[in-house]
Amino acid sequence: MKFFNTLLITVVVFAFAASPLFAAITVVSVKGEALYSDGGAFKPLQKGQQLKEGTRIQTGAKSQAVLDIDGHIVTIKQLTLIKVYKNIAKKDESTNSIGLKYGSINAKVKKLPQVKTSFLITTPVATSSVRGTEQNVSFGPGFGMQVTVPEGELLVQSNGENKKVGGNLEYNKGQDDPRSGDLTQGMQNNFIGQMAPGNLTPEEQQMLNQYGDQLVDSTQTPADVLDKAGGAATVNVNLTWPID
Amino acid sequence: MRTIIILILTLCMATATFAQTATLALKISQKERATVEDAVILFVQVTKGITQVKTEQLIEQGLLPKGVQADTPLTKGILAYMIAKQTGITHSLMFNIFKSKRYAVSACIAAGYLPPNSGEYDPVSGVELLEVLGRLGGE
Repeated sequence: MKFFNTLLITVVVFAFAASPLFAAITVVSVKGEALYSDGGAFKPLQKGQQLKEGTRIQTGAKSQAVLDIDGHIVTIKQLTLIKVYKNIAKKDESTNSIGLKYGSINAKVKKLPQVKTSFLITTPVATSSVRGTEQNVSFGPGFGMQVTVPEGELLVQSNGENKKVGGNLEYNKGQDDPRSGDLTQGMQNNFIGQMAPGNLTPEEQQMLNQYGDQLVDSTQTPADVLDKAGGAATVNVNLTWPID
Repeated sequence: MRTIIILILTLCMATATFAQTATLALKISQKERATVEDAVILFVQVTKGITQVKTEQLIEQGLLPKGVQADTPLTKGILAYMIAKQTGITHSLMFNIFKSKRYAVSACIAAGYLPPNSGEYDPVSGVELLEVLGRLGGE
């Protein structure tokens, strides 16, 4: 009997080892409240639950759900609705596709050796394709699709337009925009906000903290500013490198 | 015994009200036009974790513009005013002085809560409300 049990366990272990990948969507954690629907009515999402392809998930306020999709970790932020469109895993291929209807998600996609990995996040305006990296994607009717990539790089496709996003670049595409915005826009805003803080007097620093955004109209682009400039001006620039 | 019963009832009530947040989000997302009540309920859930609040209380406290009712259709001006007053954002000098919906919109645009092309009288759909409040309480 002992020999039979050992044999059975060995067979089971080898069976799983022979196929290193099998499609699985597992709920890692649920903070606050999240609901899921696999075609019917929405029901509360539980930690440890297994989900099927085609499942929709809605998170509530101050809530978050974390999914393990074939080893890739997807964090669904608050007030977000997603649908897992595709979850296919074969021996040498892992294909996953998530539809983001509204809200924001973070995806950490593992690059598995000898496995062709495709992990798509689709919104109504564009699709981002990620492999072996991390990305934050948000979508809504006001701001459109926004993609940032804390680690690695990815490709965002929309209307035949391909944009490679990585580093400090940020992808932005409004719902009605035919093309995506300038990838460096977020970086420019950050640079404007952090300009030479070490050289400001305490009064200037206080003024900047309180009314900083009044000094730079956030709806203006650098091109708008340059268009309005006339005549010559002398500008003293004090560059400090590296920045503390 | 009495303490145990109170504790159990409190836990049951907490679970029941908490279970409303995702259901409420789903319900609001299907609305073509959100109301002031939708915004108020979701706003206090996102910012304070409170699930029960009356619109009238916020009006009395001066946190909503005068003249609005619970069933008033939501505009970006009303939403921005509520956000600017409740969160105390200091992104607009003019809002700090005049406390109007128009300048509240400017303050919320500067703070990154509303898109740059927003106007005071723009209607707000259910999904737009979720988008704005998602950014407000985003981690």
